[in-house]
Amino acid sequence: MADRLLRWMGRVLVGLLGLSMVAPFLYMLSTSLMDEFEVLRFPPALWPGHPRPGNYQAALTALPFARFFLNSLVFAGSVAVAQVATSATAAYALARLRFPGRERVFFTVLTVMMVPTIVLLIPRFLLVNALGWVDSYAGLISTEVVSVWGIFLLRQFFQTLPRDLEDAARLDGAGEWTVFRRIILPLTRPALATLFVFAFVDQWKNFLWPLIVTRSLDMQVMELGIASFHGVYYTNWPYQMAAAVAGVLPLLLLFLVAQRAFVRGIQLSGLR
Amino acid sequence: MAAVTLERLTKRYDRAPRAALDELSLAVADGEFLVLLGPSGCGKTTALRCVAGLEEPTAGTIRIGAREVTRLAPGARDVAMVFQNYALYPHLAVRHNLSFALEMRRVPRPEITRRVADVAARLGLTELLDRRPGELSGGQRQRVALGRAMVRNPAVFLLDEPLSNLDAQLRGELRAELLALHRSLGATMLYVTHDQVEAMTMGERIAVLHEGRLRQVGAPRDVYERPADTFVARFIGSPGMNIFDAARADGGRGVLIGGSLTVETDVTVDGAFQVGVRPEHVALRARGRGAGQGEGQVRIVEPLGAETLVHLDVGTTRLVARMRGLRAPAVGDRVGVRIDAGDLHVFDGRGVRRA
Repeated sequence: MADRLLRWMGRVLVGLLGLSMVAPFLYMLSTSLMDEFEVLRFPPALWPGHPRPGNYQAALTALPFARFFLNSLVFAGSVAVAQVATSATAAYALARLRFPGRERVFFTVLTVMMVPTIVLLIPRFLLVNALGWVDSYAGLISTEVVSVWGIFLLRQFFQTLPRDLEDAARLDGAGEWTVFRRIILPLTRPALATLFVFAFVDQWKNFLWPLIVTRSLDMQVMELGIASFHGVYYTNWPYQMAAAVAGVLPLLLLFLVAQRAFVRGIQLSGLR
Repeated sequence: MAAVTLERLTKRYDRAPRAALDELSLAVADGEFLVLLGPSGCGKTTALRCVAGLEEPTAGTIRIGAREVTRLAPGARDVAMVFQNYALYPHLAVRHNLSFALEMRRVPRPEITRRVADVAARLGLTELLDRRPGELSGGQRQRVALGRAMVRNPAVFLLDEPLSNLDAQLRGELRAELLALHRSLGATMLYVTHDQVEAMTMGERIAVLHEGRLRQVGAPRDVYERPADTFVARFIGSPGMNIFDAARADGGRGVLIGGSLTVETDVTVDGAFQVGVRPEHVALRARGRGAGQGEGQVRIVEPLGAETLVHLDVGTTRLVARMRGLRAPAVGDRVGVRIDAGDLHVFDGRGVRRA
């Protein structure tokens, strides 16, 4: 009896928690379908009196959102691919190859993790500016290709792989690169997928760096597009929410496809 | 096929108090099955990994055939290794586990296919070629690991406790299979184990290691019957040899064991010494028959079926006797104990064999 009561209380609690997470999303959805003035009414309306799907077309054509979407895709996609490549090679070296000062290098890498991104914003911009890469894909992508978190995640994963596998491959005549490519990488696929998904999501949501490094409308990304409905004196809430819904859709899709990778990433790293 | 020669092979790890391997010199004949035996941490696996090229020795040389390989990469030594946990590539089907080494050596495709099929047929793996290691039983994985070594036709096979992860019955079967394989391949095999039953039944010769040092090399029978020191005497045999601090018997020829048991013998050793006797050489008699040289009290009885182990308190010491069958005295009984002088092993104060 007490058992069942406890289980029910647990369910109610989880339900409430879930609701508190979903509620803002649902309200965004509902707002995106409202009339411009309905949003500001008091007491606030939870659901539009007359849903206006037309908001979407209006919002997404007000600015070149197709271009923004493409830019986001290129930006997030390239960064995710690059981070997987750099993290895998660096992490393998730090986990397995023997060279003097390895632990110190790893420690230094970890230390970088403690530096807040915001502190690096200006130096990064100055570097990119000096290279003449402002307002280009190169500028957007170049400073994000290495992820300390990714290195850490994969190093932890590499360390769980039995060393005997590498030894067996070496005895079979494989060189270091072959061991890495033919034995280690295929076994690391789950961790690589996790890193890819996290990196992609991170960059898709990245607002600050694109804001700083891009200028022309042609180079802007989704996040910037969504934000541009937000003026100093006036905000078109329904349009902004419509654009936001459109911006979130790819992530929702990615999450549905790669749900397991998300969960595994949290288990693997204990971070996030 | 080739002989393996180790000369003063030494391996020291940073910060380790003693060498993992201390000047090990050992010659393995071409085609020989040699067992490296010892308790965990004795250096046997280190020795094997040095031969494989997975550890770099601190000093000493390794020769395979006429070629010195001490600093050669593992892949260039023409040795194959079977790992304790098999180390099969989990993401590859059995077929590709077997062919990996051949691909690395750029053996032509048709030749690879032929050799893989050959080895698979020989080990009964043909049906399993398209499975992954995760879908195999322990015994099957063991066979794949063996096959992966065989397919390369290496000069030397290195086996690192290959049977220790299997259950007792399977281990027995595979022991016999491995021996048959050795016979038919005629290959040099270096086999590491801590299990002295495996060593006794499989090795043409046994090399006993302890704390990084070679204690004795010889045929299983020699090692059993004439152990070079008390460590080997205790380690080989199940249970191992009974070893006692002994004293000269008062006013006569013979040694006194545990202050109460006298064995007459001509052997004389100066200073402190130890004597040993195998459990099967301890004879027990019912008390009062007068045949005993001493007396003991039964402490524990272990019936094993074909034989029974009887643990006794004899004077100030303890010993184990092995009796045939299941008939044995009961716990607490007092029995007569008899040891023949010819069965006595004598070691000096440092534990080195004297007679």
